[in-house]
Amino acid sequence: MYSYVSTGALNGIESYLATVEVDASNGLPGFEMVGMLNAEVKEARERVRVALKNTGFSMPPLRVTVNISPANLRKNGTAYDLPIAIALLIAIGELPQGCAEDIMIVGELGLNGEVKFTNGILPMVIQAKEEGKKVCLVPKENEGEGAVVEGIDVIGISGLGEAVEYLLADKEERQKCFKKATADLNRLMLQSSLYEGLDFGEISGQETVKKAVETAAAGFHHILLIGAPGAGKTMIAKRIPSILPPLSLEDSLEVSKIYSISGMLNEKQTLITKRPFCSPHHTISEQAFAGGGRIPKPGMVSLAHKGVLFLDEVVHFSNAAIEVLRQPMEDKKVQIARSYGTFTYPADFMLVAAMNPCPCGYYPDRNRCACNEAQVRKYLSAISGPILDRIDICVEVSRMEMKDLEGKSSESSASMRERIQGARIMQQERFKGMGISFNAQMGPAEIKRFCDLGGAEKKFAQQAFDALKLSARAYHKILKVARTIADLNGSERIEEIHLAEAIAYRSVDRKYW
Amino acid sequence: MEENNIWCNEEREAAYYLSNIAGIGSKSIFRLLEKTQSAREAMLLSEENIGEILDKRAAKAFLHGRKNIKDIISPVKLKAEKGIDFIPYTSQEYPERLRKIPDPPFGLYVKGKLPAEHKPSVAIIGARACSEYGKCVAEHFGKQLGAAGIQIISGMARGIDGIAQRGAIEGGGETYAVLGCGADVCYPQENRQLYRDLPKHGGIISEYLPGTEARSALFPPRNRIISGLADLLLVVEARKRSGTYITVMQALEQGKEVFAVPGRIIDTLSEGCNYLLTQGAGVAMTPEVIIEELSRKNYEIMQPNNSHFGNTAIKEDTNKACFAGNNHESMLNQAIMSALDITPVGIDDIYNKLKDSCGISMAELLLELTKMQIAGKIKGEGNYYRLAYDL
Repeated sequence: MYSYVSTGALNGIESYLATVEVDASNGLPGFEMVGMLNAEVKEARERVRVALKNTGFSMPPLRVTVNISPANLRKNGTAYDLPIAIALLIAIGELPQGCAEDIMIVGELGLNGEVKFTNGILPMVIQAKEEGKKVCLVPKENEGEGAVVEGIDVIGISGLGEAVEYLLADKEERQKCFKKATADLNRLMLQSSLYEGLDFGEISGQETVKKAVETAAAGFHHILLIGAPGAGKTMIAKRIPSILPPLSLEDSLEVSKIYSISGMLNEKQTLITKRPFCSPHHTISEQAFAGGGRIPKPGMVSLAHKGVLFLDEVVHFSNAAIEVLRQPMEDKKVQIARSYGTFTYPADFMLVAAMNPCPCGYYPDRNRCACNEAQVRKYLSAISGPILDRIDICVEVSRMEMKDLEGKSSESSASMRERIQGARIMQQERFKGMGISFNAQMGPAEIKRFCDLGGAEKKFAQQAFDALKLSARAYHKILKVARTIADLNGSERIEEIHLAEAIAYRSVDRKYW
Repeated sequence: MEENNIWCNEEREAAYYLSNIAGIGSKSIFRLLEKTQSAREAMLLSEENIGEILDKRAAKAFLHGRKNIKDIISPVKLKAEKGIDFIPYTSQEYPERLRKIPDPPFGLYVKGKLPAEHKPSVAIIGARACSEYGKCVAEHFGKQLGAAGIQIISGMARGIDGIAQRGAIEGGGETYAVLGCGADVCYPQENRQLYRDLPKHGGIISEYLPGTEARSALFPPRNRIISGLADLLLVVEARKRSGTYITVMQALEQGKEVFAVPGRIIDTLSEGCNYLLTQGAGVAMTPEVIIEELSRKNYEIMQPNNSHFGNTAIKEDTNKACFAGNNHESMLNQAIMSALDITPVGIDDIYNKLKDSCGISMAELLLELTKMQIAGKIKGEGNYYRLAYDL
């Protein structure tokens, strides 16, 4: 007999529905699997056979052929075990034909028939809903992840037996005996606006840097922190998540998809509701950065999507790894090509890089730094021009004296967040329907439209440019950053005071590069 | 031997080829000259004589070089292609000052001019990795002394050397660089512009053959020429154990006057200078001190029109600004000026100093700082600001 079951398959971050077809007919007994399958998919044969046996089904001596269509796309992962088992049961008559109609089934099987955690459930459920499926049978451990998708019933299954029970039951029984997984989206999203842990209130002094970081967070500008060891660069960077604007549901789903594919969602965390903060060690390879593997997995730049990618000691990252950042910083996505296809992962992150100004770290404090000019220059040149070009804000973190550290209260993350939220709303209104959401993403056309300067301001900018010998390239960046500063101050117009601050954030790279 | 006659009909040319023989240095040449009195005769010495005068290795190099003398680029061609003149010890043009040092170079390759004998000359030297203070002082002294018609000798190195020479050119003076590589090699590369300007405002001098690449071993010997060409050595900024210190020792050996710029006792870059001062070096408080010292040596020196240190000029300026115009703004201006120094001050420090007394926000402070930069009153470097000393 012939049977088929729908299941989910992954292609990069996108998912598509695949059909598992099974034919069991007379002939030389055997079990064939086709459909451009990877080794782990082919191994399903053994898992399915034993799991069926251990769940109490006996395999009749038939010639079984399994095809997973579309057969021209490569299949990988272990999500096909359960649908193969179900389709097989239908084919040999243990389950009625048509019982799996409008149902998407995914899950890995253990030899004892248990259904195990599977990667990529979220994008699969989203796809199933879009293609009009009514129910998804997913592993119990993944049900919370699937439940965040509204408009489709997600049923968590813990064993093959349970799945069979579900499929044997009629409509009423199904509704009565099998609880739909639910997720309290409101509660989940509320989490996104709750912050605990690190707070900017713990950092005293460093007013300029805090201001610069606030501006960067408000406009999603890439930022570079330069300073001596122990000045507090890492401390500051680690607190950036506490002031980032909350994720919207739409963004949250997109980020969660990436984490789902990477197998980084679990029962406790079914949805990524906070902006990610990724801080890879500097030994990271370019593949781990961009995403890689024979079947490409999302890399660090994608895991930092809509969040912060923090590169501490950025000059120590390999050149190849740093250059990988160029495409994502420009296009907000990474494309990874393989001979059988191209994978695109989103990678819209805010880069926070930190570095020392020289090998010993104390330049230009000549009392402590004995590095010669050539050493300093070589050290600084480890950051390539194209990367530097994409960084809008650059600040020096100076070492604090003991007297500055003691007994001073400092502005907390909460009040910084309030201003940032205000700036965020202004940007949302400004860019409505334009496909961009932050000032940092403005192109030349938008800059011309939204960063128009008045006569006096134009003159001021001109004078400052001449006096400070700024490059034409810096001009656009300064305008973008000035726009964000104006937003933070609730000002529609960019004024001199905003320009001056933006210029100050450019002066550091003029000093070093 | 006959063919050598062709090359050696002129003393100067003979000296040029003698100096160009690879493998023998000034010392060997002087030893040859002791015997023969002229370079021309030295070139014609017989093999035995040479073996007697020079040690084995040098003799071999000399004979080999003499045989292949045609491979050496002719002095006419050197002048035409690279603009380099050769001045041998035997020439009248050879600097008198150098004749007096214990270990003079036999020949000098010169691009541009040599320092004039009748004008005073000062060597300004100091650390390559210098501080803002050092930069400021080097430029100031270079400019003022240059303007006073004093020739500035230095090594065109990074840091103090190059900055002082640049200052001298800006002040309209003459400056001479003694290199540790061939006169046609620009080292360090970042002083390219200075290298290009030097022949027009003085000269580039080297004892090494054109084309010689910079090597660390070549620099200490050239320091003796720097101090040798100068009447007075001025140390702007130096660590206690440094190349600058070696030059000072050589200058003292040559009997030159040494002056040092005092620094703060906590700055390691001023340690060398402060130590020299305790050892009796002259205190270079202002360029006038140097000028005065030189005029005692019977040099005629023009008085520079304004050699006040930038600071005073700034202060007067602020006072003027204070009484004119918008009151709050000028007060703020003045407060900022008094919070600043010629060494850079961090923005956070400025802010902490001013936020209570003036009640301004960080943004307002940044605006004011930018405006003051536009006005040229202060200079910003990264998050640090300092007074503009070149007012």
